[in-house]
Amino acid sequence: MLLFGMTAAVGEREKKVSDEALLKRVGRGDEEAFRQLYQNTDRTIYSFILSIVKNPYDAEEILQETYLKIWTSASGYVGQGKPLAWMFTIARNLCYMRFRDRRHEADVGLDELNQMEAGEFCRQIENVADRLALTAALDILKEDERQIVLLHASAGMKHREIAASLQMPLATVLSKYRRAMKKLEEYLGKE
Amino acid sequence: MIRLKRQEIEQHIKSAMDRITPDVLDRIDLTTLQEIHAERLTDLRRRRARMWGTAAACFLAIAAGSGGYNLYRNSLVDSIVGLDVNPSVELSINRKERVLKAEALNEDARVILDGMDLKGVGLNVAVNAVVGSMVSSGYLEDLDNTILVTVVGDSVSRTSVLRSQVVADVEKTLEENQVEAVVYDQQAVARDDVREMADQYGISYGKAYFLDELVDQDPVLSDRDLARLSAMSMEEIAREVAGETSGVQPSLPAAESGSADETGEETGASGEEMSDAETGGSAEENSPAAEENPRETEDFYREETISETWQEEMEEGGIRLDYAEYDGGEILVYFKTEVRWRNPTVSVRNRDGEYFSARISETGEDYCRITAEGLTEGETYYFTMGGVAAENGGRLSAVSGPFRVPVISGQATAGAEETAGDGTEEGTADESTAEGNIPEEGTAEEDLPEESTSEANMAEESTAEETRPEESTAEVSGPEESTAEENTAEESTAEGNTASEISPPKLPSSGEERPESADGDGAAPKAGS
Repeated sequence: MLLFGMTAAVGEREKKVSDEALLKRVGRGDEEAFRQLYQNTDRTIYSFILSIVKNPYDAEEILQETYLKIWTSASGYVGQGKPLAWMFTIARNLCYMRFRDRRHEADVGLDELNQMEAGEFCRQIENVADRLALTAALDILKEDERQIVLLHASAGMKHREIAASLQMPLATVLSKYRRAMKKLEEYLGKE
Repeated sequence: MIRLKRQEIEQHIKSAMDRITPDVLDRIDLTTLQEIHAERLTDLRRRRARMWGTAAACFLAIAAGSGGYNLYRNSLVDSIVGLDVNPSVELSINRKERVLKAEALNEDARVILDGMDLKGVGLNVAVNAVVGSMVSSGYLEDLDNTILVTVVGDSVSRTSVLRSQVVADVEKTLEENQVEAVVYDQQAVARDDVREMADQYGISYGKAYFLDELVDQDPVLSDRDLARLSAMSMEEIAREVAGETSGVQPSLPAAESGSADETGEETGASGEEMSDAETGGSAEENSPAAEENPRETEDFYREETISETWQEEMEEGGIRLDYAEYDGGEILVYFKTEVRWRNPTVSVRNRDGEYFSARISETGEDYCRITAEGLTEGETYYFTMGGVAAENGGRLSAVSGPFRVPVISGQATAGAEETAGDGTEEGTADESTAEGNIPEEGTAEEDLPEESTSEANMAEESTAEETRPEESTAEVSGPEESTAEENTAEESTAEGNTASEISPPKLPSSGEERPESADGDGAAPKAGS
């Protein structure tokens, strides 16, 4: 008891409470903890979802569904020190459920659809270089490469955190990251 | 230079994401009912154990239970926790997470553990002490300092739990000491080969395991680097890996026999050059009859071409090969698409159609590793794998492709170059040996997608044709030089086609995915497997 109390106090004094602790609290119905957790993780979850669906509109909807599911099922989270991996699983399942039917369609169709919508959101990104970089990442990389790059670049995760959350060996993450960045360098270098 | 670009790219991505990341918090209805789950017993137990451990301090007796049996069991090593920075420390703990033995594996570690008696101490206290000592001795003080945490145990779930615990303990200790460092963690099982490697290089089991994994996954590093890496600190290793750029392919001047559009990915530099080369040859795609001017009279750089054509994509959502590289006795094959495996088989042959002992040592979602023996430096070989299918709805089929064993001594081997139009790999199916072998030298063979039959009529083209995998089946192998050095025996094979049939020896070229080997080599290896 005492130890637990001490930890909590220390946590508040320093940076925010860990996501793991927040998630546990969410499981007990703590709305404030939920909001805090959202603030801590939305960037990361959005990057993850976008890397799967490639389309920002779909990603936005799935983002919302994901957090709702996190809220409703948080009490089922077994504390293993990897709250992000758990949240990723929820997000991933929602992505696949939504696109279950679409996935089996010809890739061409889906890409066209994506490009149309993607074109619209791209205009939101005024900076040309930004737009090119993100579009390139979404277009030319494979799914796991997109995930690693977006999580690293956008969510600021370290490689080992990515490895833990995606449940991949660290060496694999490092290797894929390097390959992905090389592809991007070459592709964007031609621009 | 490249480093900077990479950072720039990441910054742009970050900036773009900043703009488009939405805030949906307000749209989430928190009045939605939550599911209720019973509190897990394990959480409670762990919390209790932690508290007890902390209170216990340093002089605890090991045996928790009474009686000889418990005493015995509590003296058995349950798991081993490794901590590597520069110093390498291994803590052997019993099932109650009490330290049975604390071992210093190098000189730096002896300094760290000097004066500490950790026997019987609870794991988290021991970790705290060791990490604290590393900090005060200056091994962990910078942002870039890196510590590797390894937990080895028999039970995966228990090891996983321990691992999170130890990482949390390490991080907490760092925090308390107001130090930020990079923490890597891994869990492992006891493996003899890793143990041997650790002994051989004089490093901890955890570091050996990490390096073993790293060399496996990393296309640039190989066993040759192990000695060097073993001597490095974790930080240096991380820096090396992160800073690496792949430079796997030898860069040779552009070779002729353009392969089908080189996108120049992956294989790197050569790709670019290749594209130039091939334009000369009027890429003949898909037309078996396409004759190309004999471009490769001397394909000194055919190897490059081979890699290039490799990158041709197969259309139709088939299995797409990315590239293959040979390293230290193993062939690493990467796919562009995700694949599944079912009873995979592999065969490796040279341009003359001789087969070599090979087996698949590992398969993954987008790669596989093949071990082969008896291969010669500077030679080009072809692998054919059966029992692989594209992840989304593909049928089981076979894939084939070329690879080259690099010359370590640095001299180019004439033989390697020759192979007429090696670029194409022959897929299995087409080649039933009978097919398309062109007795004559140097004719380009085209493989037509004949299914399993020997059709493989290869048009002998003396000219290099570009064969693109498009053709449904047999790929038209690139033109071969009339010199036809090698391939002659080969049959016009479809390059890297994946046969729809599964029969490994020979797959009918279904013409689906086939790596484009369109480069000029027309050599078709004998398919008859």
